[in-house]
Amino acid sequence: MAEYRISRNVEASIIDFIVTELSSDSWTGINVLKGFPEDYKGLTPFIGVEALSRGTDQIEIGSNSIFLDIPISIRIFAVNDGQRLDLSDWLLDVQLLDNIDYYEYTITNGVVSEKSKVGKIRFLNKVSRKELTNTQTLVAEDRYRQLITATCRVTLD
Amino acid sequence: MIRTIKVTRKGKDPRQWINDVDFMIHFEFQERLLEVANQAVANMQQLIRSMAVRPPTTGRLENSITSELLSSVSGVHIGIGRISNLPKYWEVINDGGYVPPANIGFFGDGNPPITGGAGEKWTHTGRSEFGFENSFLMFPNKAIKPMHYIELTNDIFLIPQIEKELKRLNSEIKKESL
Repeated sequence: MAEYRISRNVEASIIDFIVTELSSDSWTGINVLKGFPEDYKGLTPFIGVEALSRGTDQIEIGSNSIFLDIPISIRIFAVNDGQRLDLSDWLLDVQLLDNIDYYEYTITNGVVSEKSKVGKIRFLNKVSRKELTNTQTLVAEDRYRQLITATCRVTLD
Repeated sequence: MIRTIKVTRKGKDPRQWINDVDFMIHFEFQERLLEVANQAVANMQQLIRSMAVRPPTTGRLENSITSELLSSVSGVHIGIGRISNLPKYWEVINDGGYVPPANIGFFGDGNPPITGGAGEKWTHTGRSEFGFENSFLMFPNKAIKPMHYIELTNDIFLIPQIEKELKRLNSEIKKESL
């Protein structure tokens, strides 16, 4: 039995959240994956969630406590430009405005055996841009990509 | 990226106050921001070197990233990495993705793609005419993973440094009791 650490907990919590919201808002055929796949030919449309790095800023001088901030990227691989815009607006304007639940995951034999809600994730400094706008020749899967980056601040209950 | 500073001051005519601030610290502040931009370039170059999949890098990408003062009229505009000077693959390395076709070049010292030949560096020649007889057309199966060297430099280095310089500017203004 093992437990995910904070970055993977954040990734998994966001993936769970997006999967649930996609379903409740009647989006169909859109997968949500962890990270950036090695080979995604034929996989579009999908959303990739990835924790980029980990800040180590101390809360105050002399304190051993550090901010629980995780920069993340949410990448949309759409099949056309309309879907790219709709999905990114849906995520930015509807889903990532409020705090979402932060879970801690327990893994047994390589699968999630338990998850417990222990806090909230807030999305700060959101930036959204279309990717690969300067590269002329792109494969179909790379043509309609949007990148949303944000800093996730975890607050424990 | 645009940062706006809001200032309120009692007593002195605001226009006169802004002129005084501008006269006292404008050039010094500009100089400090230029220094931050130079450090950001060094940071980005180091990041690319350290994250290279098959080090050492050729140096083409990181050495073509420079900073330059675009304008110093009504604010400071500093550019980092002029796109026209960068190799064409700068964006795919940052954002990740499949290398755009057609990829013509060779592996190692002039080898075609060989099954089980992983680990050799790819050299992109872009043509297969005379002098490039060892060039081969390649269709990569795996996508390049995003390096995010722009976002990481921005988030980890550039924004905190600019915030720091703005705080310093603010305390200098207070100290001068303008």
